[in-house]
Amino acid sequence: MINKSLVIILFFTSVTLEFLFCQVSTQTDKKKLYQKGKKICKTDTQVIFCKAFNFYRNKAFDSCYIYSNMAFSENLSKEKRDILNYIQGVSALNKKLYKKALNNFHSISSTTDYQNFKNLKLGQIHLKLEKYDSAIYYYQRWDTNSIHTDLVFKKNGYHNLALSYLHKKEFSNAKKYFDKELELIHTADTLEIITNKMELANIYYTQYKDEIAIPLFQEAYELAKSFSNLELKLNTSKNLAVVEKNRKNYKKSIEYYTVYDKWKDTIWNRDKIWELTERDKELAVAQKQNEITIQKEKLKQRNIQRANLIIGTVILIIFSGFLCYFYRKLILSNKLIIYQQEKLKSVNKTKDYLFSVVSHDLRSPINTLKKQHQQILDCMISKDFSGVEKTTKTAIAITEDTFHLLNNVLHWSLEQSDQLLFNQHIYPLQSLVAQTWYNLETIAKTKEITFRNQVNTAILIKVDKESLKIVLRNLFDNAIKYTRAKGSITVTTEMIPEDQIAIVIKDTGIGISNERVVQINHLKDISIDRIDRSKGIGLGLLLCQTLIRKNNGTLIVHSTLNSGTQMKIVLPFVNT
Amino acid sequence: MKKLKLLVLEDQPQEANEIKLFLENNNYDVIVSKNLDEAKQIAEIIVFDMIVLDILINGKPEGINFAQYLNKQGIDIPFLFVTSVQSKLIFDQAKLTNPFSYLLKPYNKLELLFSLELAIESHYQQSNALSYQPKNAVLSPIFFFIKKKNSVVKVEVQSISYIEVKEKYCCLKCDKDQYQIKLSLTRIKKTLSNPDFKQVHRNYLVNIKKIKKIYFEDNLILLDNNDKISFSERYKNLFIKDHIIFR
Repeated sequence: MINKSLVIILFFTSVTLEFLFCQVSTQTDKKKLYQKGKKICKTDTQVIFCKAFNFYRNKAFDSCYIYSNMAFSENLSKEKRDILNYIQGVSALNKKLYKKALNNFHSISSTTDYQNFKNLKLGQIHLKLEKYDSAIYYYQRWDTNSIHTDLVFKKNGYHNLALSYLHKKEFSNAKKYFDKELELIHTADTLEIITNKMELANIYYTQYKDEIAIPLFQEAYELAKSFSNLELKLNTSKNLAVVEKNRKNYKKSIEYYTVYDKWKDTIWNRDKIWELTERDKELAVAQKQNEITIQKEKLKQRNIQRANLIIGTVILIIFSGFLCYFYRKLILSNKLIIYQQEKLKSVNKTKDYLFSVVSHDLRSPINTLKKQHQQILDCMISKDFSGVEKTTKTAIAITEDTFHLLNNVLHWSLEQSDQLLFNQHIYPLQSLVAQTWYNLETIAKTKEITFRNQVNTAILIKVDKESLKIVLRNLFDNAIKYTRAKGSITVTTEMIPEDQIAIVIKDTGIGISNERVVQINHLKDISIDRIDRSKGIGLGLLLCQTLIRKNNGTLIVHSTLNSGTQMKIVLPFVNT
Repeated sequence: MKKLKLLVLEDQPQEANEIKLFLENNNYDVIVSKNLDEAKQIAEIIVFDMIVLDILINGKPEGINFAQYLNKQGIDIPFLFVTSVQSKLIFDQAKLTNPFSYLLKPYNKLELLFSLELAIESHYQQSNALSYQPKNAVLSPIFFFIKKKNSVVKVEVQSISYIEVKEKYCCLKCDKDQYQIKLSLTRIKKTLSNPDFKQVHRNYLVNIKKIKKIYFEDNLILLDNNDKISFSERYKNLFIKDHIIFR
């Protein structure tokens, strides 16, 4: 039991050391080989050889192996062959192709300077193949010639030799070569000292030379304590613990075990910490990843929100645009409605006005007519024919008057509804005056009013004939109405500078008060709904103003109470 | 001188009579027809100078129908409506037939006469040539329409012997009568554009068909009615130039 555990430890330590030495030996090999290889590459131009050599230098053993194989197919000098064999052997060794390596090394000619190397390598290979006898043989051969070998190789060789003996359980020989190695080891090289001491202790211990082994173990342990290599500390403490246990010195054993555990823990901790930090890192990375995904998610959400916002805004804008459009439409239609309402209002006012005119102004003349008729009837019964004639004449006058009123109403309503035909042409004024007067002649005659049409026949005016006739008719009518019997009415024309002509209608009537003159003159600015009928401004004058304005003219009234009125229709003059 | 011939379409006997009387008093020849068919027949026989139409004849708008008939037949006689119809529909229909006027009953008599004058004026496209002053006239290739008081008479161009300038006026000398019109000689000459009328003097335009004899030596023209007109040198030369026969 005890031995077994120790062997395991020993084997473990030996393997590590072996590997260490292997490396050391190759490194020293290299230096010598470099020089030779360089020399050959300088003097010769064998590309493949140089390539293999370069690969060897760069430790690319695979390529080195292949290229050296290729190099063998060429004709080469012995020296080169030896070098190639060597580098291929090393490559094979590194690749654990031990048999190939063995062949290579064996084929190196025995006359060369590499005899030592050859033996050394062969020993190494045999050790690897656990052929300890052959290994010892080769190492012994090397040892006879080892004076020329440098320190590192010597250490290596001795160590391996000792190991071989150890495996062969020839402890005295093993100890001898370990001692030899120890001699060569530099005192400062603690690692090697510790391992060496441990090996020695092992040797003694397996030989049950405890009294020598234990101090060596302790020495190794003490040295390891102050050395930084944890594995060494672990091994030394474990060795001591096992040793103490075997000595039944359990207290100490436990102590060492605890130390061993401590180191183990430390190693474990070191690994663990590293692991933990790794895990922490992983965690942190995972967390970061998480955060990133969260951020991404957030970004995504934000993007979606933004897109939604934009869509919402666009919809809102479109909606508001529609709203604006409809609002505008509404306002427009409202405006139209208001305008129509205003128009309707004025039209309604006109209608009301006309109704009032018709009802009020028609009532009395019709009533009078009725009375006249009764009077005529009375006269007929009493056979008073002169009475009949007189009454009939008044009746005619009244009828004429009413007819005139009705005409005015008709024209006014036509004018207001834009149905009055309006065609301006050039007409002889004199004729128009005469025509208009013709209708009033009978009434004028009853009042014995003389009429003088003093308009020059050559005067032409550009008017709408019907509207001018309506105007003249109204003005004549007024003139007749307000002129006393046997008065006179004169129509003349008057040139006004700047291409205007005035038709002047002058009567010898009772005149109009200044107040009313002002009223009439301002009538042109007044719409029908503003007229106060109680003040007696009739439809006639209003119609006159409207129609004259339509003919691009103006009506001017001059009057002096009790001596007469002068009405002027100022119209644009047409030059013939 | 001839009176103007008017056709009046009027179904109401009283009104027909009234208008006939009034127009005849004002020197017009008036023939009244009482319905559309009669009017058409008469219009085929007699050439009228103007037509006065009532619209509603026996309750039908025959006046408009007659106007349409005139337009369709291409009978180029000016016509006007004198009616009591005020309906806008009828008025618009009437307007489409291109009347010279549309008078409402009761019509103003002066206005009727005035409208007749205007109708002649517009028919011959000589506005204000007739209506506004006495002694005005409208010229057509065949007739002179001359204003005489409130009326218009026509004088056949062929009946005129010569036209003489008298101050502002031109005097139309016919076989028996003479008329003064207020038109310049050049205008008359231009408007007539009748090869029969030749200017023989600054003041004379002669109807060569009425010439009895020409005394070139004495610069005199003797007309059929034995009137004598002086022949100026200048116009004589022109005259000879135009009439090779005299060379």
